[in-house]
Amino acid sequence: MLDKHGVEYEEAVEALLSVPQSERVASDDPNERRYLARGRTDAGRRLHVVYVEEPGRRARIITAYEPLGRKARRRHGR
Amino acid sequence: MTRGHKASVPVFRNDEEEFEFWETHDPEDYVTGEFVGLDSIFGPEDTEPSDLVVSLRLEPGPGKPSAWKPVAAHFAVTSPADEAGLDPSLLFAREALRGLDGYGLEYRRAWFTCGATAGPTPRLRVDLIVASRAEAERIAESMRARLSNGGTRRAKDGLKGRAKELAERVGGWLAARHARLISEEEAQALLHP
Repeated sequence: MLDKHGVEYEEAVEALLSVPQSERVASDDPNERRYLARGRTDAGRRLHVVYVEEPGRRARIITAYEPLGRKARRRHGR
Repeated sequence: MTRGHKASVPVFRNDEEEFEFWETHDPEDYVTGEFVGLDSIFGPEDTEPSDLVVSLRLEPGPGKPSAWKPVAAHFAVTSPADEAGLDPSLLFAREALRGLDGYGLEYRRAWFTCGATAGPTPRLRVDLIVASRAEAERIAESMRARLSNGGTRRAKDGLKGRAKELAERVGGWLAARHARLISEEEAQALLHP
């Protein structure tokens, strides 16, 4: 998933940790806590990271993408 | 879609299903407006860490021959930093990740584990991959050398690329916090008293 968006795993984690807060994503599953972090990598690349909170205080990164890139993809119906 | 009428993400049967979902849906359409601090997600629940135990375990990846033996180095950090109010294990993870610049599928997998002696363990696990067994051992040795030399010794010249960068950053992080090298037994005793 990250490869597909041209994002390295490390970049996604950097972006996730670069902002003090993440925004909750609404889910039909009451047991799943999913977040969107709008951060930047150490190199300054803006990334949005969707991740799920896992037991043991871990995060499972689902996807990360440059926000403008995603909007452009949506405009093109992809 | 306007805030206040946000949709909910459906229940997924597996990761693949969720990956596909986010290929065609924008997360911005599903956010709730509720912001949660990183410390609430990753930080301690009801106890403050008194010590931090950092373990570097380098384990063979799938299919590696038996000659690839596990490598481990453990450190106790007696005065974990509290920069920006973040959990120290997050800071450690950041330093570890800053030292990386790529992956290779054939490479060996390594695990960093941070555990606080007065908190739930493990606190955080960072997965990374290094290029070879020799490289993995050089990383561990370089971090040990930094600790034994007051944190001033640079990584060996032969250590290249991300391995060198990783050793410098993580070793520097440990040295600056007066970490000490501890045995496997001591690490386990601290983490599981």
